Amino acid sequence: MTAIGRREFLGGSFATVALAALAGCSGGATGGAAGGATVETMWWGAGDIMERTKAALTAFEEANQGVTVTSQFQSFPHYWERLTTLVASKSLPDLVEMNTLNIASYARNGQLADLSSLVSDADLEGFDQGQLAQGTVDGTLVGLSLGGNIQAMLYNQTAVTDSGGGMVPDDLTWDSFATFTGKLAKKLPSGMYAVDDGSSLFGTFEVWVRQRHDEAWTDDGKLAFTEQDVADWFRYWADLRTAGILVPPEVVAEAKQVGTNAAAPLATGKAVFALNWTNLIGQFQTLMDDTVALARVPQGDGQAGDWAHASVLASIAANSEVAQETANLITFLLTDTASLETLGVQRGVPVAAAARAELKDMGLPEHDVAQLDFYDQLLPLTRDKSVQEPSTANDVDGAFIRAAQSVTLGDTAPQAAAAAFFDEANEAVSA
Amino acid sequence: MSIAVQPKKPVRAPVPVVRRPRRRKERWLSYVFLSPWLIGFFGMTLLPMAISLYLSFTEYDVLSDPTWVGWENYRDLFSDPRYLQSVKVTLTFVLISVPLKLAFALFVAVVLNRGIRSANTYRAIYYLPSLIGASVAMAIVWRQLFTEDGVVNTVLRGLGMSDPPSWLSDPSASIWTLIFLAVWEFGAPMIIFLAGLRQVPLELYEAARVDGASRWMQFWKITWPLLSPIVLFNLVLQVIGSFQAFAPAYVISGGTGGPLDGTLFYTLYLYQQGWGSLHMGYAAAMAWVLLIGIALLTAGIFATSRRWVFYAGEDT
Repeated sequence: MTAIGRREFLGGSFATVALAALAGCSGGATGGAAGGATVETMWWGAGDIMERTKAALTAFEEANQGVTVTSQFQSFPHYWERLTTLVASKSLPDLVEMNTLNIASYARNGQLADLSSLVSDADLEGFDQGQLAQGTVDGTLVGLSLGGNIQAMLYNQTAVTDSGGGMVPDDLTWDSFATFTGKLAKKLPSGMYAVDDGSSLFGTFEVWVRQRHDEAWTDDGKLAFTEQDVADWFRYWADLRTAGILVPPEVVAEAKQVGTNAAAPLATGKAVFALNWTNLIGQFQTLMDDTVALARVPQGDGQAGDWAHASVLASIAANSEVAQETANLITFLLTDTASLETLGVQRGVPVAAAARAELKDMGLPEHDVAQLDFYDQLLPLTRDKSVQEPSTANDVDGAFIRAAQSVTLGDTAPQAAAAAFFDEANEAVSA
Repeated sequence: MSIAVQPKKPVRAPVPVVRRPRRRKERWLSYVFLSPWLIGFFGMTLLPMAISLYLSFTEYDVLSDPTWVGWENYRDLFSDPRYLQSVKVTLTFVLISVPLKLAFALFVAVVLNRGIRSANTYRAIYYLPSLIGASVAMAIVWRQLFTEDGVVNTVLRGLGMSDPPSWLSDPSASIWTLIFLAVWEFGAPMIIFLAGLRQVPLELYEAARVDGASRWMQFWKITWPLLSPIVLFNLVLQVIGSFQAFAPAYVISGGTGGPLDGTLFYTLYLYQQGWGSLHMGYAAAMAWVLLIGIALLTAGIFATSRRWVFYAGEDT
């Protein structure tokens, strides 16, 4: 018999523990319980949106005995950090959330599964064609929109009514918007301004560009707008600023630093109008006592610039061993009546018109119904996107914010800021 | 896991023969006990560093394989205006916050060393910010203090300043919120200074007092020279730490380094390049330049230390 002394025993146990710890580090979870499948999912968002998602996942488990769904939630920036490290270690979860900014690069590098054979045509009935296209990369369907939204103006309806200046007109142009808000500004209580400064919002600028040109991006990811477009945009906002219509620059910059919706001028009662995505109405309404309403982004001289946008896309990892189960989960989230009600319209409205109609009768809060109604009214007027935004759009967005701030905080002339932005953006997209 | 134990065959063997295998076994065991550190050092420090060095010569977006680009990342750094801005911001931060923090820490340490009543309580209180100062929660509270209608500006207005700075939105003022936050975390160097002050022999002060030296003279002729090795230690530590400051800058600017890159710290820009734009090769090159920069600066501080650091027992 070999006696094991205390030291040897401790040493041995230690090595075992160390090895186990090492194994734990490299272990991508596989399989799951005997006989059943485990679908790993990863999401961004917290609070309400997380609770709703978890509830919908539980409902799927109950409807599909033997399938277990695990979920992780991260804040938006950390979601992408986590995802990149998981890509590096080749252990993406089965279901990943994508956005239009990143889906092309993930797909082109072979990280995402082709969904066309996993999802039936019946599941996609009535699906918005524009958003299907946003989930299609080089002809392959790799992402399904979990919710549609449109660039719009959120506004404090109570403040507009109280000012006595009448309703917000339906078909605002950029010029009539300036006139309307110019009058509004004079009637507002002190400390409240007519419009939150939107000069740094690239998403809204894209609408402005698409009113003038076909698209903001070329097919190969270069800029499809001119330096003059940018200069005109900055000048438009500079004129509103001079006219006293906008929230002062230091208030805007401070709100940007804090970065939360709760600190945004609309929520703090410092702005009446703010440009944002339609699905944000719910988040702002819960932060505010006043009623929040939606209006279309002002129009230019030519065509429509707004488009129905896939706010979040659900994709499946290319190396998923439970791709079919994951696809079933996605279609469940998109089409199951109870799941639609559970998820609500936080990520935007359901992509199929029938599902939207169904949702309207389910006794949702007023602001959710307002979002659904507004979306349905606006959808026929929008113009679908025909190009995918490049992954470098993120850097272009950063340069745009700095250029806009150099006008508001740094006394740079709009033309000079546009020139600086254009150089930086061109360099970013050609890198 | 099973453990093979060598049977000790020559039961009545002479003492040295028995001891030798035992010693070998002990050596083996020592590595087992060292293994957490060894795994940590090789697996989580040395290996990642080697990979980072390799990546700094590549273009790498994580999604696709790295491609070798030679010195391109390093060359690009010095024509990148945002990189140069981040160097400027970081140097400003280090050059202002480190001396201020050390001076403040030394001042408080000298005061607390005077055997005042409940000195221990004060020490604990003053050390507290160092424990929580670098945390995310503290940075959020800090940002709140410096908002337009925050505590700081309310006090300044109360003191009669009609137009206090817009701390968070003025590109040139925003760095100061981070400098104040850094200085406020003076506790760690203060504790080290206190320990150093305790080492100064009291007889020296007694002798100086007998000779009629003022408190100021005592400080410059006795305390400062005897404390200078501690000052050097704190200085090196703080300089290295300040170059690597990240969390407060990240939180206070919401990860942007704004307004207008006014708080774009080196590490924050590195993070933006790496995780925001997925330019991992570029970010790795930045990390190596930072490492070399800190190493050179530290070497520089050591080189000057011959002139101003006094080691007891040495002739000066």
